[in-house]
Amino acid sequence: MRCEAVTFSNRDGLRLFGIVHLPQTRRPRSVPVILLSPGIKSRVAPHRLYVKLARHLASLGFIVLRFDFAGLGDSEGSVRETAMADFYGTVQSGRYVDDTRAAMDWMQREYGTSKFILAGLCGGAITGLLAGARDARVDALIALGLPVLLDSRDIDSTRYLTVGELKQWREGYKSKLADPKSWLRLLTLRSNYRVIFRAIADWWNKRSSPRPTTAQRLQQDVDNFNPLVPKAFEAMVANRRVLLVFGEADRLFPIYDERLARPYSAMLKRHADRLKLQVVPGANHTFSLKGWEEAMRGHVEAWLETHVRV
Amino acid sequence: MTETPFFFPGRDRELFAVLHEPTSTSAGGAFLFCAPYGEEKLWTHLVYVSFARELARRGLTVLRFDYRGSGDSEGDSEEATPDACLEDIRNALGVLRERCAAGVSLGLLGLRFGATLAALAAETEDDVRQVVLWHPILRGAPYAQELLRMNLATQIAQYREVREDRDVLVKAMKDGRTVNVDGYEMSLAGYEQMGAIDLLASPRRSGARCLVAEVAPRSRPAAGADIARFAALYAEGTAVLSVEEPFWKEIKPLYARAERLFADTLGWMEPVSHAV
Repeated sequence: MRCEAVTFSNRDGLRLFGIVHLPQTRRPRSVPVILLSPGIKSRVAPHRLYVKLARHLASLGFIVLRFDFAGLGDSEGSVRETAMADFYGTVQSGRYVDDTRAAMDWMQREYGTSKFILAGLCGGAITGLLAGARDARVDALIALGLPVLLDSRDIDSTRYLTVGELKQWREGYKSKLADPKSWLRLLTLRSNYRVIFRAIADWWNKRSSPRPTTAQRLQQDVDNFNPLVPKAFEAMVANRRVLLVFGEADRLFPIYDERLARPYSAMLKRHADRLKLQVVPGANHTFSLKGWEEAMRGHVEAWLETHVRV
Repeated sequence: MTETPFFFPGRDRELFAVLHEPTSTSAGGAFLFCAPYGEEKLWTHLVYVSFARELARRGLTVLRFDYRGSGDSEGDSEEATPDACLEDIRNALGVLRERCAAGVSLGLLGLRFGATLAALAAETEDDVRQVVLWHPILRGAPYAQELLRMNLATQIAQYREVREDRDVLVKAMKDGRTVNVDGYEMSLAGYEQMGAIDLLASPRRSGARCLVAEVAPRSRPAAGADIARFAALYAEGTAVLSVEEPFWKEIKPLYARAERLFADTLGWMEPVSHAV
């Protein structure tokens, strides 16, 4: 496996920086993989997840590009948002779809390939989904920890916690009951009282009355669900393959389940043969333990070998 | 200003770097940036890039690079022990010397553990004339414990309890295993080398001018006395308090630049960069 540092221009003329991993074989697979940056952590990704994944995919014969979107990592451009939540919201709204397409343009020129597998964690996953909906060159999508909500400083996300999230919070609080530091946080006003209140209220309400379904709640309230997701999802799975991988303990998993999978179950069922969901037991959002990461990579490898003809 | 990404040979690993060069040839010196450890490197990346560009605009050459086992460089995270990183810094300084005019004034800049490594590297590199240390880790032992605490926090999040306490983790490293710190593997060599560092223990042997900046929100200056004591160990050391959020960890503001830290650093550098 060989690595090359590369640059190419996006559609605004900004230079984007990336690394290409080239397999040893003289006949690499015909469809390269492009890893899309997750949020602000650039082409390296949390705990070098993309570096390790790219090496693994290159060892399987794939050409892999991982690159920085404009204003992130080493790339030119700037990010003007001053709050992380606002920045994440712009990513979830498709801020980097054009940069993704510029990466495909460059790969097409450089390696003569016209189909691509997009892959990414979190912000990279949603960018891949939105890019896939707009560009037929996207042959398949590997979405790790896909977010289906919109972040913003203006949205009080504690108002829209799912049943699964509230359960995760409650279990977390229960485990901290004996920890003096947690009590100190609570008593020094550093805890998130809204979440604590909602977690307890949810448990109390469930004891006293049936909870409204997600569909009922969606009708009652304008919420933080990303309206771009269902259409983009259907555009992808209608004729391309999608692998979703979540960590079991990732708070985005119950959100996906309650906000997308259940309300849109009919659509998902229609395209079930092209959609695969894998959950890594116990894993967090970034698959930070070695075993979790290896399990995730195992799912990716098995899916590529079984479902994607490359 | 040009920015060139490339790989260069370390001792046994290819290391990734980006060279920022000013457009003007009347260069005002050159700086090597030393990155902090683990996820802190990722949270601070944009600040490093912004400051490199700031210096290049002022006529300085900057080399940013990744230690082995970190960022885009070859190797795995357990290889990035303090000793190995120091060796990589020396190799990167060699690259920077090759890319600059002979006799150019060299400087080192680092944040958190990157600052610790920069301070240590400056001791053996006589041609390093300026050292900028942003919020350095002065004592390695408590920092190594802080890293172990991250492993304990992951255990609590996963199992709701600590199944392997500190003693068990250290024993595991002694038995040849690595310990996971927020996704990065740490070896016994890394843990022990880190624990042996104490920048306050003796006068600094480097003859470089040194800026030591404590980075803290105004309301909570934490290590002021230690920072001042550390700066005093240098023949020409200056301590400052730069009021910024702790941008090396996950916080609500997005830190692409650290304006007050930049201003404090540029103010300190100004006389030298103009004089060269």
